Amino acid sequence: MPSKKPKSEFLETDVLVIGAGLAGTFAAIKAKAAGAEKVLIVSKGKMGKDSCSTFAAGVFTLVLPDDDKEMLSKIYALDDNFGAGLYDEEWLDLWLDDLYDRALDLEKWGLKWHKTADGKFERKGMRGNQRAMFEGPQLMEVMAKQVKKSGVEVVGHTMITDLLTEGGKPGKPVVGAFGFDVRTGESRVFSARSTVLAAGPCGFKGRYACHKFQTGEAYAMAYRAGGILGQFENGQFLQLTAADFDTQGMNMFTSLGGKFINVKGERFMLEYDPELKDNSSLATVAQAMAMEVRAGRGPIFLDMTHFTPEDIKRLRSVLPIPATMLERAGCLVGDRIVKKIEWQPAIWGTTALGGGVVINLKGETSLPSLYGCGDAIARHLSKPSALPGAAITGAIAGKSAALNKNEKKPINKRQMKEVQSYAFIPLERKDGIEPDHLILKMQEALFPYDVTVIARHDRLYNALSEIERIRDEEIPLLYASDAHYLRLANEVRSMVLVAEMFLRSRLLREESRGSYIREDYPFTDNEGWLKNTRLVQDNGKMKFWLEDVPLETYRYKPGSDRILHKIFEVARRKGITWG
Amino acid sequence: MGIRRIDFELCIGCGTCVDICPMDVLRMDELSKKPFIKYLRDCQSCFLCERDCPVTAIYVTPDKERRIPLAW
Repeated sequence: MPSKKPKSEFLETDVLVIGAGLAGTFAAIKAKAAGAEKVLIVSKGKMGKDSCSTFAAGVFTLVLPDDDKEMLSKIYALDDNFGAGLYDEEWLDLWLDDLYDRALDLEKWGLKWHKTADGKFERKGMRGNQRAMFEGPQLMEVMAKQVKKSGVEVVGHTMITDLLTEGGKPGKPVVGAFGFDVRTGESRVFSARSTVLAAGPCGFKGRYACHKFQTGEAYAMAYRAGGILGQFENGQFLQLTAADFDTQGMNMFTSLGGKFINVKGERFMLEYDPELKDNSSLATVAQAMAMEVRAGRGPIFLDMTHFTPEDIKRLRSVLPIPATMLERAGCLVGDRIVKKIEWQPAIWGTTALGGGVVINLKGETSLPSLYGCGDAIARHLSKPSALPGAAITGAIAGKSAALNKNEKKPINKRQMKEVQSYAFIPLERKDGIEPDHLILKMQEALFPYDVTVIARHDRLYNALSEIERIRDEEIPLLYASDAHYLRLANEVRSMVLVAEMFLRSRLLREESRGSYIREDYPFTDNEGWLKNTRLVQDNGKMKFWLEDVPLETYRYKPGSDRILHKIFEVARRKGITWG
Repeated sequence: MGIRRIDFELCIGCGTCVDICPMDVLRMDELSKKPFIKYLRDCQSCFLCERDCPVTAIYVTPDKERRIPLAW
């Protein structure tokens, strides 16, 4: 049983990796390979079983050495789904160069890629990308095995809540981290020369399996340590799922020929994206669905009833878990999909693309000795993203962390005590609010489609007011009866903080661009908004500023015009109103 | 309703499910040396326990344990 007065454990390492998804495990393996004496990786659950990558949909955007990189670079840079003008071309080049090597790493460590008869990577065009496929859940099993083989030390079931800094001051070099065992409540203090932040995205405990435990700790701990974050308003933010149950595998479903239809049976994606249709970007499909619902043509369905037994065989091999879900939900019977399934946009949070800790090309954050990778970082709105991005940035951050020249500095005892007592407040209280209540309240403020899919100032502002009210009135009353609920309480704190980052960033961007559209600013404004949002904690307040995108480094420059966002363009043609 | 059943006839008490659950839903009973479902509300129906159980003693359904607000 967890004790009210938990014990403390002190662990020392050369490189500390926080988070054990694809990015974190890559970082740990590469740090060790680059000569780090001792590498320690921490995960909230069991390594290999508690990351988004565990549930990854078996597809991996892959660029092969023979591909025309110049052409790809142009597509990614200019396409409004991938780059939307806010990409970083240096990152794009790096991504195109490193991708193949990371795929080979994975193969060397045991990942089974789908190959053609002559031994080449088999790729399928999905949502404008060339994607290689591997067999479902083996990815993180391969990574976990390789981490252990590399001699990396693993600490599981430990939730890290705060970074520790030199002298205990914000904005100073990171010297370690604090966390607790989610079962026993035992405190764990880590002292490290270099720390890699790989603790994933924030999914606000939304619809997807991996979003129940991806609750934004990476952002919250970097924010409290005085690190610079950014780009929370944009990025992918939306995914699509069945309305009655949660499933992943959208890319696969539509690339096999799944079609979206509205309540009248119309295949509306033919109008919203005549080229890619149902394979359009997830944001575009979500926006199109929302427009159809607004026009009174909801609900929306995904029709896969025409799949052949051969398609179903492929589905079961690449996506065994989603296939089970479809089966248990009564949609998949034998080798046929037997009914049209109601589908909805769902919050995807900062998974794959979106806001996070700002890093440079070496994976360095604004805080010395702190490195970032995977979904913990602000991704550059084109690439890197998702699995390939996690592999690439993880490898970079791990290597840089190992080669860090800074000396190891001691933990500040006062700060350690402060973050410990902050983390444990809910356990110390005799009574209070259960985390469950605040999860629901936060979601009710954040999840409606008129906040996330089609935004407007007044609705964003109302959502922010509710989030601030939860922050000020209810979070101080959070109550945890044991270590498990203490984990949930700390997750709620992180999520509410990230919700504030998200809504404030959205209010700031007064335009519609790529995945972020608002009906009070329906134009993409390249004159005024080729800028990224940045934020930092300043005297307890969230301070924002704008940073110009590095236009001087662009080979493919976006126009300097204002154009009506393509979703509003189609909506206008279809007679759907907004304002 | 998330994880629905652990079949104690089949269960060998290996503890795999307790170890791997990303939501920390399961605990081991000290006396019987078998797992039990402690925090059902946190089950996310991810099917990992069912998939990794060496003796197929676990059955999971895709229904959500917590109400999650929909987009519309």
